[in-house]
Amino acid sequence: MTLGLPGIQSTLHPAGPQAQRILDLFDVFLIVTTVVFVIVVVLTVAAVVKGRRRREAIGEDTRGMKLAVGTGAVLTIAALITLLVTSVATGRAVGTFGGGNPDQMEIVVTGHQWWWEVTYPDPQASNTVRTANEIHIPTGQPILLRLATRDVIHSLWIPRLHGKRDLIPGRINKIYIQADAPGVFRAQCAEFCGLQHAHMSLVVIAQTPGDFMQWKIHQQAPANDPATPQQAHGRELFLDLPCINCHAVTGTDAYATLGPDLTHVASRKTLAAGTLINNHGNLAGWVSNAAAIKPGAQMPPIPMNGPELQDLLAYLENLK
Amino acid sequence: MRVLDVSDLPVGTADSRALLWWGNLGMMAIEGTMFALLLATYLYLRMVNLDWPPASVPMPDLLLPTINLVMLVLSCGVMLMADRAALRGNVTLVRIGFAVCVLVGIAFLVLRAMAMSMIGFKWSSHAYGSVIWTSVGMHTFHMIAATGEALLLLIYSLVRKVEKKQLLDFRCTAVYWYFVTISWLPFYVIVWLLPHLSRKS
Amino acid sequence: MTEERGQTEAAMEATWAPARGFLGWFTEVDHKRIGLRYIVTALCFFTLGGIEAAIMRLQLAGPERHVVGPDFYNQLFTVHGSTMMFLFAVPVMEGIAIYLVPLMVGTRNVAFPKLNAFGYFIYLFGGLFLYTMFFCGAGPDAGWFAYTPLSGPQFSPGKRIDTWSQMITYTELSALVVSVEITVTAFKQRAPGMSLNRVPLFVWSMVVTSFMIMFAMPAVMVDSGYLALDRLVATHFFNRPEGGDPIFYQHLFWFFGHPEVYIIFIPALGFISSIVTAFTKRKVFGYSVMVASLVFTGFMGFGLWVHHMFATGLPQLGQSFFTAASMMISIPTGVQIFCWIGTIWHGRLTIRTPMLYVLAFFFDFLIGGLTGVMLASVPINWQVHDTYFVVAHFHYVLIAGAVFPLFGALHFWFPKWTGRMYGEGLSRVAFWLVFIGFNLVFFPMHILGMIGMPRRVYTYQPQLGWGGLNQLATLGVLPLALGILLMFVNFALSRRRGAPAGPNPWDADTLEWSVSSPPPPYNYLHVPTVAGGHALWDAAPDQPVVVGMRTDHREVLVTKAVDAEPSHREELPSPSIWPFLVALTTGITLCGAIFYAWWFTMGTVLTAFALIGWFWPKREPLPEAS
Repeated sequence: MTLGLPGIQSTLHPAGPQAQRILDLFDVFLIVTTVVFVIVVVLTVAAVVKGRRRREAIGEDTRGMKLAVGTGAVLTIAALITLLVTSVATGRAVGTFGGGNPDQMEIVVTGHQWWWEVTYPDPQASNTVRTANEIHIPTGQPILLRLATRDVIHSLWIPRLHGKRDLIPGRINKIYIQADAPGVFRAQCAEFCGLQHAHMSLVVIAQTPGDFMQWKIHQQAPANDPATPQQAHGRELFLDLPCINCHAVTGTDAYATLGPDLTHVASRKTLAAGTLINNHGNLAGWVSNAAAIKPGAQMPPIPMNGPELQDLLAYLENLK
Repeated sequence: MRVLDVSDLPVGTADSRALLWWGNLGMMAIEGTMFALLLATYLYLRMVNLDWPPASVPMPDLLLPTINLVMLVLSCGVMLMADRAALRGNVTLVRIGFAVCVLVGIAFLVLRAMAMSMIGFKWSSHAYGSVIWTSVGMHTFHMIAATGEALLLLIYSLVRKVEKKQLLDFRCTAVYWYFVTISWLPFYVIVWLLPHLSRKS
Repeated sequence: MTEERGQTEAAMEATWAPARGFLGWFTEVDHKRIGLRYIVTALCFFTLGGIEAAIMRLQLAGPERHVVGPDFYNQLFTVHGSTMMFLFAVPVMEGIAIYLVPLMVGTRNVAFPKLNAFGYFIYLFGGLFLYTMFFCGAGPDAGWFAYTPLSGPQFSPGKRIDTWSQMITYTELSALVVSVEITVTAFKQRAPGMSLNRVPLFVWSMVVTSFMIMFAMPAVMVDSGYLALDRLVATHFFNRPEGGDPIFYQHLFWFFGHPEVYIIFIPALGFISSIVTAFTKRKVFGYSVMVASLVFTGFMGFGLWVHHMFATGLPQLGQSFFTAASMMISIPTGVQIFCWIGTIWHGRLTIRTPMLYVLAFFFDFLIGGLTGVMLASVPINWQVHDTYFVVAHFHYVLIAGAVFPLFGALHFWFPKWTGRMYGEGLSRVAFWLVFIGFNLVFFPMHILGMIGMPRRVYTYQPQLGWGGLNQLATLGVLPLALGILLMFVNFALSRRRGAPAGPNPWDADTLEWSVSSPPPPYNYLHVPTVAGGHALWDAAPDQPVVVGMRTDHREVLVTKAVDAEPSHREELPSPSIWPFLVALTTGITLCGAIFYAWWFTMGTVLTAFALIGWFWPKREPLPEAS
């Protein structure tokens, strides 16, 4: 599990061509602005030293000083034009990256307060994959993300792959991402979206095209049937309790779309939009009282006794 | 001691050198910006909507609004006369001019209420309704203020003696009247004419 | 001669006597008193905003801390931002301008003293309203720019956002009336001889600021007005399904919001010019270039707003235009910095606390300006937008760029306002604490943003590796807060016990230094005349004064806008209760309207009556004795 590495969400560790280009541009800016900073600070210090030594102020604006200030202005303009040209060039390259390929792979990312719905549309509806808080992509190719929102404005930011793009009501924004090598990249909502804005993250999992296809075929399959009587009882509970008001599990009577699709919930790395690692204890805590972990989370507490909870967990954990 | 003696200079003036005159300009700059932003709102919303005005909006009847507009524009001529008279200190003419304009203002507000009651949608119907009602509302608010101001000055001029320096108040009200008239012109076009001229759908 | 002067003085004292007693607090129209009220009130709000910031820093000092919960945290940063922008930064600059502009141009009060009083009260009510609601647990919680639809009726029920939108209306009303006063005072009430090319740079900076206010503030009033209408009477300005557009909210907001930064920053440039002039004993290098730079900045400030919206996915070409504009605006500021450096180079420099703050400005504002150039670049912006990099950037711009010069200005004019010197030693200790603390708090935030920390998160997970830098930033709060506290203590002690300052302790150049400290209620016994760009330094030994103005009326001399030749005299109003009453009815209207829409109509009628009281001319005084 690599979710714990510092730098997993850092712009300084690019893992794709666009983040790399932006970092290169940032370096150019950093060098130029540092040079400017040093020059101006040195000049200020020199002026302070000069000025403190002077016994009488030079009252008029001398030619020499006019020349010096004029030179400063011209150099400023020259530096700015250089930066502008590099910035526009990078902007064009990053902005047009990935476009123009007709059989592009598309993923629809939909923001919700406070989780991410991720859909892999397929012309054949039953092959469409729905998951949450995880974007799996194959490496080495641009992937088109279509961004939408169910409620307020969110912003998708995967620092190691690309800059951010907003999810705006009534619009579909597009952004291309590409990962060069397999890896796990953390991403987070970057536009304030309410109470749990801080806990609206997701992971992007880049896999070799082969691994990715395997993952996708697995996700296209319907949910596992219960393998034990405990799991079977768990499914009954799931279908009786308020769970089905919001969640879907393919192959059952649960098909609501307000909350994350749970068909393969056990295959995911995190729970509650990156808030928790997906393990037995966390799942138990989350299912019994989500708002205690993530105040404001819209999943209500579900009244259950101990054995019922264990049965339900057994069912959910079998949804691999 | 060298001095600059200003005892000969007039105290107060009714012309464009007065402080209040400049303050009035500042206020109109602010309100003008506000009207410009309302126009920008209309144009922006028109740009982002394919159906504009919405199909449910009936073609507006032009009669009342047009009478209103013509009346308001003509009243500016009367105001201009009162304005000039104030500069010359002719209080009688100022009174007559203001009386006419107050009547025009009241008539205008009545006709506007009638026109708006027939417009066929509410501010809560759709974004088009929101921007139209807000624009008309803002202008009506200004029209009420201008009419009220003119009425108060008229009453004042009838019950008290008008001093020279108070003539400035009359002149500022006149300028405000022109402002309220001119700022309505683009809104007349968008509220009443545009639905007839161009309909996106 | 002296006897005659004594008689004039007595007559002027009587005519311009300040309003006294409890009621006098509500009726005062003296620009100096109202200016000081603005400054003190704004500093109180600054302290409240600072406390909110400190609580946020405690919460973020380490991962997953529980000092405050998400709901309160969201209120904290919203109220902090709104306080600092609307209740501190703009009003404090206005307060100083209200105090100084009339003195600097050589007149006796602002052009519209009653309006000035109204402006203060409406600002005060706005601030009190926001904090009353905040202390009742209904503080706004959608960020200081309250983006729709999060702030709209569907996702923010309750009164929180209404509080925010009405607070905007109050404070913007206040800013707008001040802008008109300052403009008219600066253009029409200058002392004879002060033609436009002799106007002090501080006055120029306030004129540019005032024009920006007139054209920028209406945008936020319209925007928050639409938001209030959407919330209260179900209009659809920002509701996409009914034809509105949430992005339009952002356009309108930033059309105001970007100029707002310059509205806060340009007065600071004026402070710096005043301070640099006084402490180098020479005129600022390149006067006309400085003025042109201010005006250019004022215009350009309106062409940058889209750089706050690069992540919304607007068309590429338009974005490049805004990149270019955002970068070009650094040219006039750069030129001004070069001019100041040249001034110091050729001047005879003495370093006192005001000058220390100016030098700190050079150092730290430069960082903010340069990160601003980075933010103007669309691709870099995509990465760092809405992260702690931006938080660091705008605190460098606003604190180092505006608050440092403000602190310098508070020290610089403290002797003028109180008649006493502040304690130099204590002020230097405070300065170093502020300077070090500020950099400790905000510099690490640049790096935090680069390594992925978004703004407005109430907590973060330990494995992200943000803990150390956050802890450092929180530690920096200590010296920063201590430094500011020391500064306030210094002011409080020196106000009574400081060494007497005399009229001109800095041997400075502008007119306010020619009168006693603090100045008399009428400012100038005789309106001065001006012979050069630096009134006191360029004055002839027998520089004429203006005579022939009445001493039994509150008269000011009105001059021509360009060359400041005497035009006529005008009488200004005496203390009046009406501005307070109108502010009160306006306040009731705005705050009542969010609970019950009809209050708006009732309150408006009430306000109309109060306005009639305001404008109804007084009975003419008895005929003159002469």
